Amino acid sequence: MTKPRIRRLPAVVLAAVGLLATGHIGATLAYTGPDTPLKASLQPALNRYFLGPLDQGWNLFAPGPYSQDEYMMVRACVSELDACAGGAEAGAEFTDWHNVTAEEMESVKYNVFANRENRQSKVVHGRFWPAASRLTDEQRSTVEGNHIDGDPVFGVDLYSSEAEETYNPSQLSNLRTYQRLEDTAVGLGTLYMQQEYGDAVTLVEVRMLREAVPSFAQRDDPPEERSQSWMNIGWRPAMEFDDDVKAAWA
Amino acid sequence: MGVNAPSTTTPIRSWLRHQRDLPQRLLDRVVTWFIADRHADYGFAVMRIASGSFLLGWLLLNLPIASRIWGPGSGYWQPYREILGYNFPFDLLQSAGPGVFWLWYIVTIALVVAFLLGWRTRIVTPLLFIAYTALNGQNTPISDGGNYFIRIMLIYLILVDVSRRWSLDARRRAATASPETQTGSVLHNIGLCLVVAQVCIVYFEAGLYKVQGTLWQNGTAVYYPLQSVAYGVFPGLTDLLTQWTLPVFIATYVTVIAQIAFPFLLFNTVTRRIALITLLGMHLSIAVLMGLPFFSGIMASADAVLVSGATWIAIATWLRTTLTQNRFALRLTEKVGTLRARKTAPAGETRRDEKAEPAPVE
Repeated sequence: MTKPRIRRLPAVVLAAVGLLATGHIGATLAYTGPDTPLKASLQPALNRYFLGPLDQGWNLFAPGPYSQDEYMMVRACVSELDACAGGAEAGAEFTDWHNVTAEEMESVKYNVFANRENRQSKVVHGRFWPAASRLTDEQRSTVEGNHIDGDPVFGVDLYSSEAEETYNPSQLSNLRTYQRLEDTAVGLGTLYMQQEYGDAVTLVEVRMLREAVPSFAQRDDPPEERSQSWMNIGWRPAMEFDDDVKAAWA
Repeated sequence: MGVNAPSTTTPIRSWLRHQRDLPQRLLDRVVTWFIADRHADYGFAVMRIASGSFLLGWLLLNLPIASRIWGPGSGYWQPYREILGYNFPFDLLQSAGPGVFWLWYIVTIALVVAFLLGWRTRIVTPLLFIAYTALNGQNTPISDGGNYFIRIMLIYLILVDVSRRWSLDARRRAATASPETQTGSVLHNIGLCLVVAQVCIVYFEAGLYKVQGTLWQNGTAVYYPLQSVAYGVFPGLTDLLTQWTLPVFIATYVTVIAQIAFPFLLFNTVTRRIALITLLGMHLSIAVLMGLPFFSGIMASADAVLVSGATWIAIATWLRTTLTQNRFALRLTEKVGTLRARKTAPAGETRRDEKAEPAPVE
């Protein structure tokens, strides 16, 4: 049998694309794998390469499996801003707490083909929680306070040179990530409350709750009250969205 | 030289002399593998049809709420998504109004249908990658692992001749008898290597992370997500399944072992079959018990490339026989055949089962 001979163009393609493919797979192995000195030595190039469409992570339900119920709760002030600022004594009207996640999850029970709308608050919670966990105790108490005048939560524009002087790069990165996710949570909270109360929503308050699933050993006799942990965002002005966004939530 | 003189060559030296051209032979073998054929073509056909069907199901199921989770309604994610690195053309939807969004969504569905049917896949696959990635980039957290996986796979599938079998392209090519180029074969086979490597990375690293977790080590990990509100879709059933320690322990350990061992089990036909069947069982359990059918389906569809063409042909033949040779199908075929014969019989020609009218005398 005669051996097939490779032509020049396919040979070049095989060498060039083969090399690129090998490099890409090696980088994927390093990027998606557990933290190693090799992975650390390849940073920040690895993070830059896998930003956007190549982003991936395969620590599915690991190292710790998903072992808690995550809830996002929201309430709103539906009076004028001045009244809201003065509280109930100034005649402000506050809504009850809405457990957004519990309401969304109702459609998941006994439904394998539930759509993704029922995961919105859960995934906001899932992104917000680790970002909030990286804050210091002092920063945590700052974000739990009320900031209704629209000024920066941490007292400084996090993208200004003043912020760069105040915080070291790692702290600043944590604060910026937190701020983005707080804005996302407040944004979802605003849209959720506006569905019911329309433009009357002037302020929103968001709370994140985690309840641990009873341990395997306790499965036959679960505790009456599950252990809970909270992350709270104080009162914030309702996010402003353009008409297209509001129309999608109407 | 005397008859009993000792030989100067040792067996090792002689073996080495015979293997002097080993690097050249290995290189020839590798090159021949890349140019002689487009491997796993039936596997890719199954992967294309299966992942295309799951993608289509995903887009149709979420159609009523698409505007809210990926369209203008997802605007609340803007502070987060603007730094994720989805640059042009993947950021086109970030400022799009409802008109552009819905046009994009419908075009994406059309591209998925074309991909599934294997129509012009050399053009459709890269377009689908762009369309789907831009949609996905609107709200990455709402995605599951399957969405991440298919996005990566679509990049590799751009290189692959995914429509060589069981597709509209294959039918068209058979009619025109267009030859296959060596460059196309090289790219196809590199794509295959990338797909297999990615599948191995996913399973291996998922297992590697699991083995570090104490709940995976003590054999109770699968109990926890099944007892959560988000993933315990059938609470009564999961209570029953997690009641006893042994099934929980077995499910936990089999998951970890199968995932870590997966790349190594591929080297032998028997162990490969065991690995694929085990992982298929795992995906089915995740789909039903955890309510993640699209995640499981898309992940499992890539495993199809690891099944040989002969096996896929055997499965297809069995399916065809089962579907067409049962009593109902035979009766239906007979009826359709009769109807078609009546319709196609030329005017003036008498049907065999009808009596001819006597010809007029004059």
